[in-house]
Amino acid sequence: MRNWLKKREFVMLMMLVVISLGISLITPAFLTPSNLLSIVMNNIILAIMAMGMTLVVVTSGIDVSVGSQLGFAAIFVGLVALLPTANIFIVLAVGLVCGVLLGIFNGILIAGAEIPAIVVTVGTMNVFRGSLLLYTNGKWVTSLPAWYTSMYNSSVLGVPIPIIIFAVVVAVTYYLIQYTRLGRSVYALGGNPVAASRVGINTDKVLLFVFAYMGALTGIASILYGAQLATIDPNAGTSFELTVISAVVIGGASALGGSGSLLGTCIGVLILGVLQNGMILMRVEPYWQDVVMGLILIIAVSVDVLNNRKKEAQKKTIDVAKAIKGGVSA
Amino acid sequence: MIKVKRSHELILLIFFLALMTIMSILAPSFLTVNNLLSVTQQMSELGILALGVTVIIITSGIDLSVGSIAGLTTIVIATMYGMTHNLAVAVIAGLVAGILCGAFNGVLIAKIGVPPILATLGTMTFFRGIALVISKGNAISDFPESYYFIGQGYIFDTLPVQTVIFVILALITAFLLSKTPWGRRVYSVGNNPVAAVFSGVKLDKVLLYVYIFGGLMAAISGWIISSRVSTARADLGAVYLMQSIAATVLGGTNIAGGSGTIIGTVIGVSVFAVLGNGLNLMGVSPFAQNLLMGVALILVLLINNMSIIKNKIVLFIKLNFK
Amino acid sequence: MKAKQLGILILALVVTVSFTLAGCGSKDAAADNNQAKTGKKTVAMVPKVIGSPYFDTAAEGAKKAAAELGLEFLYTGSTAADAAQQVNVIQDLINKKVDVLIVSANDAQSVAPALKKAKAAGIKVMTYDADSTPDSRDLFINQTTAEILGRHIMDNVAKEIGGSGEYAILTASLTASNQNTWIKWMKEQQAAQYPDITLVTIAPSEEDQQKAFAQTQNLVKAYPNLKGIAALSTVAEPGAAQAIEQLGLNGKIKLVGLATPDGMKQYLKSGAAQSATLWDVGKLGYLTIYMAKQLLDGNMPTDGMDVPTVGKITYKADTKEIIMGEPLDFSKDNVDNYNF
Repeated sequence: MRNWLKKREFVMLMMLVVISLGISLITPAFLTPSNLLSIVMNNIILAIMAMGMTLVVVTSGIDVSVGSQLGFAAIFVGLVALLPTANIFIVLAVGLVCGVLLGIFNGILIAGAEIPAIVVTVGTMNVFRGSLLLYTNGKWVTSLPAWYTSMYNSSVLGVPIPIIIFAVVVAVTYYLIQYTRLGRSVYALGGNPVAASRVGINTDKVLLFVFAYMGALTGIASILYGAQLATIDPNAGTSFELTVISAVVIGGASALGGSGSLLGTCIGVLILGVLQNGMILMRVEPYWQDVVMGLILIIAVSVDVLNNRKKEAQKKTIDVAKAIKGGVSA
Repeated sequence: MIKVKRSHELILLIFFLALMTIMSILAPSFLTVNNLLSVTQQMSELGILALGVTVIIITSGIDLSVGSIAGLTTIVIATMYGMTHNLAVAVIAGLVAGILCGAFNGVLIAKIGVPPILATLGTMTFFRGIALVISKGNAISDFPESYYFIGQGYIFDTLPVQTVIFVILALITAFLLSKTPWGRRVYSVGNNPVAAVFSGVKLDKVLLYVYIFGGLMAAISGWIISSRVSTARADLGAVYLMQSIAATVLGGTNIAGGSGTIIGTVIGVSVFAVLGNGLNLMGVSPFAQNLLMGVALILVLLINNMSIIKNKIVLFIKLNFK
Repeated sequence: MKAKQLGILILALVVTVSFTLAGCGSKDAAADNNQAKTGKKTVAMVPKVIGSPYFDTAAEGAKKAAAELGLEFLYTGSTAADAAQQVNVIQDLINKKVDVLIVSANDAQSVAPALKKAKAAGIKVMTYDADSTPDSRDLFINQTTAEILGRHIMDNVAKEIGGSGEYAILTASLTASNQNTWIKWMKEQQAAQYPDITLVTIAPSEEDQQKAFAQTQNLVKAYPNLKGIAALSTVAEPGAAQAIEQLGLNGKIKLVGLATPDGMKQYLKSGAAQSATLWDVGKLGYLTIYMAKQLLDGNMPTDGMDVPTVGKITYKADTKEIIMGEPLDFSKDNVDNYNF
């Protein structure tokens, strides 16, 4: 099983390498340290949110409200940052709390009332955005203070702060799913919900955690969003959910649940980021960019599926052969 | 199973009637024949799109590309008309384009085995891209007067044409789902694909036709949109994507597949249409309209799951306070 | 069974409460009843999209004029800039029987049938900001013409980059019809006046700040000789400016475009952007309502007419179009005088 997962990511990684090589053959501007850094920096927000979405997708769930959550949290972070007594810790806390609350709201409806995740989040997508626009009346938050926005461009020991934040997010997420009972239950739940609840996993608790965690990461992303852009549009993040979901599914997290990994998601984010950047660098006509992007997405998932199918088929014949030879033993 | 479905539709119907009553009281111009007819006119595009989405969701699939297909159809019709100056040819080309898009989705999903959400996430971008390439992003509006009949015309001077089309298509879809072997296969694929295969259902064939059906509905919807707004544009129809899924699920179609009815979807679409129209007549801020549509969706499903919630609360109290 | 009945009861309650609340929250909700009591005429204004600083500022000016002129003012629209949704709103307003309907068209053709229907129903129909077809409305209030604006922005590009070199356009979305017309005129002006300037590409920003930010960074890398960027939306220009600022390219890449002064204030001052062009949007709203009142009183405007708080306007009788004036450039020197 582990081997198979690794292979799957390997295929996606190869795909990323091939795309990158192709682009760098066409344009020398691609493979430069500063360009690679800017690809990473421009996709940190996406990557952070995609970490949370990976867990959501692994439980066979989906969260289409994350774009609205991002806008919601970013505006509140911005408004708090404008207060004279605010400082960086208050801002961090507000972003995190705001995101977690929105996530818990989703989680309660999904776990508590057992309404399918896509339905709840289509609803809350409208609820979050609607109430945000109602509250702000469409007004932007502008002129954010320098102590806040400078966070995006500062670095510690030569590493930009957004990258440090992302590294922390990855480390925490990895620790959670690898070493905690709650985190491991996430995978168990996605693999087989019935079995999971039979072995005593509280599925409600796991679902609530997953959506709250998604919210928390969106909250962190929203802090960076404001710092990156210095002005915040209450429409911020509209349809961003589709980008986040794309990144996760390209990375191989299965919507059918049970598989999917953080590394795969990182590769998915990079494939999207590299394509976005590469197409401009290669000077692809703007009207063609969606065609190219769409085709590559389609090819990526098809190749992945075909590859798996071959492996599955091999595995099946081996299983059958084994069964015939030695009989099945528990 | 059937009992559960019925009760959902009943709740939804009561909700819908309550909504109608409230609107009639709060907005005097709501309950007029003219206004109600224009509500049906407004909901037809979304409704037709949702018919396709309903069938797809019943097979436990999803189609994120329907909005892009609608947009592409408008562009194909306009471009073909520009080339041939023959409206019939242009419209047929548009509908064929929709069918081809649906077939493309179907092949990816049924033949190659890509999960529907992944496949249509890709084709959503791809189809929109094709529309952008053909149109260079521009809106095209040199249609002949006769093109406007389907989106702006009236039958007997009162019935909007697209309302009639929507009703006919809804009846056909309902018939296909409930009275034909194809319909039974659609449900069985959604209920239990493995069992369906073992009982002789050709999974890939059923799925292929389901996505072609979705593509065709999206194309018809796009045709009506472009006729109503006298314009073809690559992004027409994009706003209906999430709405069509929401309306379908509001109408009681199980997102996990296996159950759902056309009448439910029609009521679901009507709820959204009445809500939008009534709130506009009342002069409620459009932001609040978004909010209330989200609330309505969640509320109906909360009430539907009332017994589950009640049990959970009882269990929770038992575990924590006794 | 009991749970279900309880559920329905709760449902009815919650729905009633939420609508009453929504009703209270919105003063316009009472318009239907007020109209009968006060005899005030209702003027409805439908922008391309609700929740954009540009249109909301125009609405503020309009609201002020409506209050002065004794009109009931209603501002509504859809939350997505979508032609089909806009037509729905217009239909609803016809059914509501407003007296004047004012629209900024998402597509010129798309709203025309609905507007004609409104005219047939005896409603005075006007367009502002973006026109529909001339036969579908009684009057169009134009801030300036697309030609003047496109040429003006091209002139700004040329002025900043010094008459030669490469520039790129950052547009709203590839389907945005206003932007596409401006771009057409920019190209004409460039071909006629600035043969040494080349347009390298048109990049979409999808009305998304972060996308505008990333696109700008990519453009700078893709075109090392790039000297200037023209960002053609109120969302794109601040995003582009922020990207230029973070790349440390203030003044090296010249940024001009179309944006509100509030959104651009900090960047004009820091030198990340050289100018932002727009018009006095509040005045546009004011002028629109002022003309609505004229129409209601049965007067047609005249060329050179002096409008209070707006000034002299141009009127073209053949196209029934009012032109408010020349576009306005905001730069670091004058941006503090404006607040929208």
